Amino acid sequence: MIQLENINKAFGSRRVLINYDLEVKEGETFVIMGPSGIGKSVTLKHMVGLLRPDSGTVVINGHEVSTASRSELLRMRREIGYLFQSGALLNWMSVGDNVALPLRESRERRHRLKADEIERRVIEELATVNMASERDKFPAEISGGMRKRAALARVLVTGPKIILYDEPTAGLDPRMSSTISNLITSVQSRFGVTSVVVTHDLSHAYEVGDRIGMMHLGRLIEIGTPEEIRRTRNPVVRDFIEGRPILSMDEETQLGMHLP
Amino acid sequence: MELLRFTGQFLRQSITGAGFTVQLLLSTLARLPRGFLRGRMLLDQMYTCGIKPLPVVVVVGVFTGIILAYQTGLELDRFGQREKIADIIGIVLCREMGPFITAIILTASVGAAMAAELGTMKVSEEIDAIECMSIDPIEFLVMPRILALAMLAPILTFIGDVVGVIGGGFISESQLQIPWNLYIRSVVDSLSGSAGATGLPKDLFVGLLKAVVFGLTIAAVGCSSGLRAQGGALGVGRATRRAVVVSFILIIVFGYILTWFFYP
Repeated sequence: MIQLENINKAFGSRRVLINYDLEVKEGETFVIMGPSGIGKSVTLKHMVGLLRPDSGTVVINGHEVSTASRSELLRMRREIGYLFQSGALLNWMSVGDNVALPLRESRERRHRLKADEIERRVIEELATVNMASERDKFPAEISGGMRKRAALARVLVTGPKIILYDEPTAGLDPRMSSTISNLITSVQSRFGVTSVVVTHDLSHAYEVGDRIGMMHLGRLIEIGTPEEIRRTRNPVVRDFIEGRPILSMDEETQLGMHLP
Repeated sequence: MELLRFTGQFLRQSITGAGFTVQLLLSTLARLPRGFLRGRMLLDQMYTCGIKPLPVVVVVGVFTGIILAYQTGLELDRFGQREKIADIIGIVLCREMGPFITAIILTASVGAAMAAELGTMKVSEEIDAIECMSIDPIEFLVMPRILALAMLAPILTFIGDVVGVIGGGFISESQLQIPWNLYIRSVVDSLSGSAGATGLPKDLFVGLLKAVVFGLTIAAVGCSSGLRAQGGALGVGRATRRAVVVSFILIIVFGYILTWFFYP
């Protein structure tokens, strides 16, 4: 289970998360939706300890992330997979070596595997994302969609209990977006992981989400099932769904509007 | 007011950067025993830090010796002291010029490359991805680089010293009519004193010690600048420039401190 309680985060004078609360149940796929630059990725980075909140608590499977030491974080992260927006594959390694990396670098003796076992798991996970034939290619030699699929294989290879997806369909054509959505759904049904997906792609959000939260002005202003979100009367969510411009925090402040 | 704000900001950034670099270096040294277990990565970095810059070190070393011999030789000849050329070349190259010129070459090639490489990884979230995989980025990325450069900088410096002496010898024989045998014997004799248990002449030892310090400095500054890069390609460019400028300054300062310490 993932719990964010009363999180506040600012970068300089810019407040990104304001009294932010979120609870993701075990085994569900929660989608954080909202326009670009509103703090969705910042939320994800708090869950994995890449960012620390100015105040508030982040608890993942009973472990407090926000105050964890470096070694505690390294241990906690073994249960969490993070799919970065760009895939974040290491460019000097082949796709296969990228997928094998977390297994080869495992520091705990009991998690260390022999080379042939690592190779077997790499091929297995690459096959899961239909990338087995690209094992020896380098990230620069494959498309953006393939890079994301390879990155997903790298996430899956360690068998995480929680997967965080940062804009998994950003920059992809509709066909590839649909492939990624199907992969997320199949991973969810196969492994029963808890997932948090950050996106501004509505159709993707409806497709993969058990629940969707709309983010605005540093917090979630509406949470519901895809059907509830579709039928919501909340004007901000309706503006987003119907493609009308939504005021940013800076614009609202300039207009003298108060935070909700 | 603007100047005050700019100065304050510059000082704050400099202190933060220095603190981060020192912390990075200490963290790396604390993980040192594990560095030798990463044989493949260490060898890759040794190739990058040692083999790639070698041709430049050789060419620059030879011409440094040639220029030094030529300029100094002409002046010495005016005072009838041309036979002193070998002493001067031996001492100057081993104590100062060899380590300094090698360090400058390593800063421009290896240190800048480290900053650009790690900076690109930082802005493209690869470093974050490494952390998320429970991999320690210091052990995985920084330590092999620092270890490789600290080990190879003295070797490259020694090669630079040797080819510099050979370059100087070429000018001494062809322009100053000093026989080759006499020149080499004088160079060896000029490196007086012994550096304790190492058995090396003190001048050579101090030069090689400087090279180790310079290697550590260049790698630590390069890695630290790269890891602090922010803001896309522009940030990577800034990090690379910062790595080169800071390394140059520190090489001069540390060079002075070591010279002052060993030759009070």
